[in-house]
Amino acid sequence: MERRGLSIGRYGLDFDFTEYAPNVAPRRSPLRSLRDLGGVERKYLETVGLSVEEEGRAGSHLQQDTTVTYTGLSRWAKEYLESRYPGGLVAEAPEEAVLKHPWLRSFIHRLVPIDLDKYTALCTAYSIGGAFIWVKRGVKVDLPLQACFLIEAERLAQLPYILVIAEPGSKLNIVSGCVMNPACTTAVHGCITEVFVGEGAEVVFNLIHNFKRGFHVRPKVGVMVDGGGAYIENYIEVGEPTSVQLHPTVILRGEGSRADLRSFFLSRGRSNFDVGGALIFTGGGARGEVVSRAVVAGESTVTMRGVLKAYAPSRGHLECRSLLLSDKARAVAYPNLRSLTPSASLTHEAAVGRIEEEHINYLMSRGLSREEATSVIIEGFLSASKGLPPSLQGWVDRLISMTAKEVM
Amino acid sequence: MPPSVDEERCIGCGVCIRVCPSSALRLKAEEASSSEVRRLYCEVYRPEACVDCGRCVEECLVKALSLAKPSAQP
Repeated sequence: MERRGLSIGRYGLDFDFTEYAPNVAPRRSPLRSLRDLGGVERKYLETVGLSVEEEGRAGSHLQQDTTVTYTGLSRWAKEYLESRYPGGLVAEAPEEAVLKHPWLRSFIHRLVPIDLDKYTALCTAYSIGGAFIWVKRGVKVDLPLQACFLIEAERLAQLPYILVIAEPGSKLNIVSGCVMNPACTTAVHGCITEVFVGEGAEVVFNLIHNFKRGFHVRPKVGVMVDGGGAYIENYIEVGEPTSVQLHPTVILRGEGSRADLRSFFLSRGRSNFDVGGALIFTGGGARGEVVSRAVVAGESTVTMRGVLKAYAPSRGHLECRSLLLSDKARAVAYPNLRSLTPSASLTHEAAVGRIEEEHINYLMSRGLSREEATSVIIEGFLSASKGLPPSLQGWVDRLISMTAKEVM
Repeated sequence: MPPSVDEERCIGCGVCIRVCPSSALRLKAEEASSSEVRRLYCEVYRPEACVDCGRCVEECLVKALSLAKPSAQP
């Protein structure tokens, strides 16, 4: 019998959460500016796209372990955005926000249920930090807001909560970079994110992660999109975490709403990735796609899950592709399509396999070495990421060069 | 017997409305909000139209709907 409930989580490698605690990190002093960051911390944060000078950013939010050390708008936002839309963009800590705006209680933990699994239960009970981002009607925040989460304390369970409300006609772009101090050997990054996209609004959420072995990553994302609204999420992991479980679930409730979920990563060492996404179409004319592409090396395991459920005339596409580079690498694809209406069109393509010998031979006949031929094919595999914003192309290029090193 | 709705649990996704064969349900907006994004939840607005098929309960994504069990015969 089909299991009920939102399919946001309940997948992925299990681990003993009791080995981690949310209160092992010391409290830190707030920063007056991102320029006050120490050189070492700055270096780690820059690997996930933090701009200390806030160039090309609307604002910044920085959480070190469990302390939110900086939240503020950039000079551009203060000079341009505030003069044009006074109070149009609100970014504050969720604990303060819920006291200021009691109506927020109707939105908090609405989409990601507390009792979904043990991670959501613990995240809800021990959540510290995070952000509340509220964009008011018609406010177009053209530059991205950067939200960075740094883990430095050993055996820390970093459990922030993020709530985003984009009112009708607004536009918001968030770049969320999560990284650890390499001196830390093991920790958990679990985060609950809930996004409400109003009519005709657009929210772009880019997640750039850089975690090493010993780290468990459990971001739980739930999204509700109203008529004509759009939600776009791109996930790129450039590290080698022990386990990742990411399964954003988007409910396209409005007429003509849209969602695109994309993930790109290189899985190596003994990593275990369980990545995908779900789109639930209840609004007529809604459309969306879930695209996951992984290069699987070493002794790692990748599971790709995609769910499309149509309750209204809609169009959805699902793509799960893995390229295996070693004999011990494992990849599994679970496409799941379900339509309750004859006027929906749901399609999928899933592929798991090694690089065709024929393709390598062809390129070698053109004068490339075996390694070079393999790199060219991998580059083509990861580059075919149509629709990716230009700002993320650099990250895909970085993945390509990392993969090339893995092949050599 | 129309379904009962757990308003606290309902996320207002609209699945129940789409599967209801007799249009007995609708989405209602919560009033107390300063945001223009309103929280919606399911409401049985035509209880007499309910045919007791249970499809809304079966499809609900978050188990917010339930059908009352028939009372035991004396």
